[in-house]
Amino acid sequence: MSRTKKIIRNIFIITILSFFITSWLGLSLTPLAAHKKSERGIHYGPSEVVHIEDYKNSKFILGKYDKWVSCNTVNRVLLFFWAAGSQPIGFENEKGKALCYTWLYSNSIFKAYGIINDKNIKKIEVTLTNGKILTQTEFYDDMFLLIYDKEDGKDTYFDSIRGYDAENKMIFEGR
Amino acid sequence: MLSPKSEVFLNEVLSYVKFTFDRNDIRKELEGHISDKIEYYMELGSEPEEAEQLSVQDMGDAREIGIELNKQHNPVLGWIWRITGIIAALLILLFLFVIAMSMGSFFQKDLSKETPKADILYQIDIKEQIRIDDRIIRFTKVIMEESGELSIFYTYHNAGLLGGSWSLGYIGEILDDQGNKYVAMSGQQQGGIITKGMLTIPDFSRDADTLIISYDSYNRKYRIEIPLEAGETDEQN
Repeated sequence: MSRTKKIIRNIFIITILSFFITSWLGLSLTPLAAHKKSERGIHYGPSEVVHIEDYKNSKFILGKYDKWVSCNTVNRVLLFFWAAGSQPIGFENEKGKALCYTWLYSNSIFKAYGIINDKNIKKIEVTLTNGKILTQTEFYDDMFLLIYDKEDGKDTYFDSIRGYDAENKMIFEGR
Repeated sequence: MLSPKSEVFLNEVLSYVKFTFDRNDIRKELEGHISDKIEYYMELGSEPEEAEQLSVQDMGDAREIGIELNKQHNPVLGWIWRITGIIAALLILLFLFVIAMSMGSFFQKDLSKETPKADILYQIDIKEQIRIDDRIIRFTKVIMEESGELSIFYTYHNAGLLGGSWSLGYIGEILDDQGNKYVAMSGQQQGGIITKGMLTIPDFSRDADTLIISYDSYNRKYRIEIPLEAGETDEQN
C-alpha cells in the first residue's frame, strides 16, 4: 500500500473513531451544540437562547423554555470541544412575582440569574455572604445574570437580592 | 558485512533522505543490492574487496540516488503518515477501551435476581417501552415482596450511537389505581450502553390492582399502567 493510501486510511480511521468517541463522551464542536445536547439529554428544552456569557473556559447560556427560565453552563474541554456543565434545567417563572431568581455555587463560581417580571425594576443588586455586592442594570431581554469568582479563596454564597426602580428606590427584596 | 567504503556510500546517500524514519529501510534495501552485486562479481572471479568496489561503482552517484530517494520518501508525506498513524493507533486503543467499558453493562448482574425467592409474593414480567427525547426506557419487571415492598425494574439506553447523556434521575410519579401516591425509598443504577435500574417503594398497597408510572416533566409525558396480581384481599375472596 502506498504512503498516500496509508494516510487516507489513517484519516478515515481518525474521522470515524473521533465521531464515535466524542459522541460517547458527550462532546460537541460548538457551545450551542453542547447546550442543546445537554438539555435534550436531561429531557428539557430546547430553550430559546437569550444571552451567552463567556466566563473563563465556560459559557453561561441564559434561556427561556415555555414557562421556565434557565442558565445552562457548557465547558470547553480538550482544547476545541464543548461539554455539558451544570444546571441545564430551569425554574418556573411565576409571573405574579416581580422577580424570579435562583443561584448556584459550583466549582468556585457563584452565579445568580433570573427573570424580571416587574418592568419598573431597573437595577438588580445581589449581596453575597462575604459582603460583596454584584450589580446589573443592563438586562438581557428581561433576564439578568451575575457571576462571581471567589477572590479570597473562601466559598461565597447568596445572601440577598434587591430590585430598584429608576429612582433607585428598592421595590423588591428577596433572601 | 560491508566494508567502510560501502558504509561511506550508504551514509552519503542517506544524508539526502530527510525523513529519518525511512533511513533504516532504505539502508537495508541498498545493502541488499550491494550484496547481490558483490555475489555476482565474485561469481565472475573477482576478489571480495574488488567485487565490493565494483558494486558500489555500479550503484551510481550517491548524491543523485540520495536526491531521488528523498523525492520518493517525501518528508511531508512521511510526517503526515507517521502522525496520523500514531493518532489512529491511540484512537483505536481508546475506542477499544470505550467499547470494553460499555460492554460491561451486558454482563452486569440482574438486579431483580437479588431479591430472595422466599421473600417474593409475586413478580410480573413487563414489556413496556417508552421513548423520551433520545432515551429509550424499558420497564421489565415488577416484584412485590411479602413485606409490602414493591420494586420496579427498568433499563434505558440512548437511541443514538454510544450515549453521552445525563443519567436518568426520575422515571415518573408512582401511583396506583386506588389513588395512592408513593415516594420511592431507594433506587440504584448500573451504567454502560444499557443502564439497569431499580426503584423500590415501601408499603405499596396490597389492594391496588394497577401500578401507574406517570411522567410529566418539562412537556414530556408518558403513563404506564401495569396490572398487578390480585392483592391479599382479592386472594381471600
